[in-house]
Amino acid sequence: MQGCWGKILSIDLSDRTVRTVVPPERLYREYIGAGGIGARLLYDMTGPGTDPLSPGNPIIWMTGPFTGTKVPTSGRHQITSRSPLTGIFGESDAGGRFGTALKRTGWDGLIVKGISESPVIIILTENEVRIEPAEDLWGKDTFETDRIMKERSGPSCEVSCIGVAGERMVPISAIGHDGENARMSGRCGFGAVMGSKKLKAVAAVGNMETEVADPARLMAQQRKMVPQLVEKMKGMHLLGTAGGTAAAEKMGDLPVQNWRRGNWPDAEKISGQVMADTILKKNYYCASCPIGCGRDVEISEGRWAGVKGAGPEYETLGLMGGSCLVSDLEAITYAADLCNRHGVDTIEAGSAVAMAMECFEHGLLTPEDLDGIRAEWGSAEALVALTEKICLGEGAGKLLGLGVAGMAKKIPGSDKFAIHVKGLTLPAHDPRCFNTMAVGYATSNRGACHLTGASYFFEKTAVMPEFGYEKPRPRYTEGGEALMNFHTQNLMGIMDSLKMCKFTIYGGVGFTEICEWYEAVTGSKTSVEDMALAGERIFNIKRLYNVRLGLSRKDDVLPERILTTPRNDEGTGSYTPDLEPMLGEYYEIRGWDRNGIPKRETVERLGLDRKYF
Amino acid sequence: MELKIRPEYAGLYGIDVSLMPMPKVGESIRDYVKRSGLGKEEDILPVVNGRARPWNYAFSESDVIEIFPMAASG
Repeated sequence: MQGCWGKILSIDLSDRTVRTVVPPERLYREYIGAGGIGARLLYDMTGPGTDPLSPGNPIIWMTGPFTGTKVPTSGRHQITSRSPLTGIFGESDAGGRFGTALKRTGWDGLIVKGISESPVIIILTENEVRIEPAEDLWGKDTFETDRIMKERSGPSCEVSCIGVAGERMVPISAIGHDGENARMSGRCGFGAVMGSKKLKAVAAVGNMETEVADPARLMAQQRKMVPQLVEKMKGMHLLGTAGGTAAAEKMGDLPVQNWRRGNWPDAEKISGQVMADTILKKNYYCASCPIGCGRDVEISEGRWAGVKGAGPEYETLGLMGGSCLVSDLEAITYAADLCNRHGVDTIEAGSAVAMAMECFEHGLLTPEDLDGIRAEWGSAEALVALTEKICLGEGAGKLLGLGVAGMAKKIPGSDKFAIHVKGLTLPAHDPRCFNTMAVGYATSNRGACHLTGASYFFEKTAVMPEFGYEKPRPRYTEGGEALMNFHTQNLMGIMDSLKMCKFTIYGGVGFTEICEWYEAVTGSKTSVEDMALAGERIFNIKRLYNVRLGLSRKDDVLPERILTTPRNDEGTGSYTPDLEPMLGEYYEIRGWDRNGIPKRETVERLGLDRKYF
Repeated sequence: MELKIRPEYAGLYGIDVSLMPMPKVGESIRDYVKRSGLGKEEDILPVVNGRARPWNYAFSESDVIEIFPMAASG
């Protein structure tokens, strides 16, 4: 089949062995690519005893069949590993250009195991694989690392790298791409996995074009869909994801004061509109994307001068802004820039600072605990100072860098201030606003994740007519939350495996369009049913990975604050979600038993017990 | 002054475009939306002369106003 090279590179840094893995074609048919194949590989390569920071835990970069083609928004890749932050299944997607560059070297993906004795960089070109010393890069931030590698290997060299946070194995550290354009693989603490292997970076330079089965058919689809995407996604182009900040506050979606209250009029001060009028310089486009939602910003004067690069996304504004009550857009941008440079998840960092502020309010943390920093609500200074400590893994940063679940273990009495599911903090979407997110967060395989199912899309403007959702679901519709998540999780798993940006769903892309593109690229016949089944399979292999670690219904929970504390705002009133009935219904739809374990017949129906190697 | 309510917005929220009044010169976007019954602020992306505008932006005679559905947040 076209769209893939049919081979994956595998490197063991302990003994520097390099080998080519040639999976059977049915792996690509059944798990599609990227997120699907990454999950299957992780499941097959590890056991429940594989420590996240051990040599035996692989970190897997995978592209999909769409990566490197002209399918719009296909310039993405997926990273999969066991998470050192949560201890469970982890995955993190990123846009930008690295995925395309990796595909252009002639590999569908890269598996890295083992631990190097000293810092190294892996360099992939069309013709060779090199493992080179990286002592001179160790200690450099992600922007500098990218710049140096482009100087050495040419402007088309793209880099997936860690900063100091990853080197020091900060549990909430991230992996950066695209230099100062900072397309981050933020979630799950994968910077620490690279750091544990002393792997500073993977660099990819290549020119190989992905072969497409039916270029004329693909071109015809392009001509139809790209103008539609550009028109429908105009808001994203003009304002980025930040454009939704003020609207989210009005609706009751934006986290405010560590999720404990509702309205916050200051949200307007940190919106995409204000960004566009002040610090925005230009748009940034990921590879193959016509939308250009990325923000290139600059702050050249004032208290927070020195920022030049990616501006904050909605999630960052939610957790570093609303959740901390910080309404200084430039301070948030500065803090986010620190995270981008040093390689830290802004969602986890913002949430950790918000929790620290709440602990400070209640006397559970003192200025002495925080290196003299007064973590007061709304303090931009505290946000930046604490973020810097997290990034460097120093002082109070060692505590906050554990993430909120880790902080709760160290701070007696702070459990209720730790807002997470399975150790991953909630992103900036509230299940008290979009009630389908309740079962979505509780069942997401990597922990609280808005993109595993992204059901809130379908409570806003998105539709899925293939499965009966002809119109967006009105908020607070009673019933059907479980079924909606079943369908949306399957769809998102497919998008993560093909590699397409999920924002295209707002532009009218769904199962039908995906099937057309898949056939044009791969030459393989498919159908909506086949794709949905593959999505179901992919979701379940990730669940099985976690079940093997001992996870079950007891872990499919939501934070107490979300379940019991209404926001009491205009958008959500006194609503709190009732998770238990949703969960029971969800398990039944998924073919799982009452404990959330996939039943034998489900495992067999989806072929989850097949072997591929 | 020109007002274009995008069909994707009108279709999504059931707006009869023919019934929408024109904005007034000097009127803010916020006030216009309230007066016209166009919808909720959180659902609307107002674009004036090709740029997204804040809610307190006051219309001018030569403005070309487009109403889009609000982009999703991330």
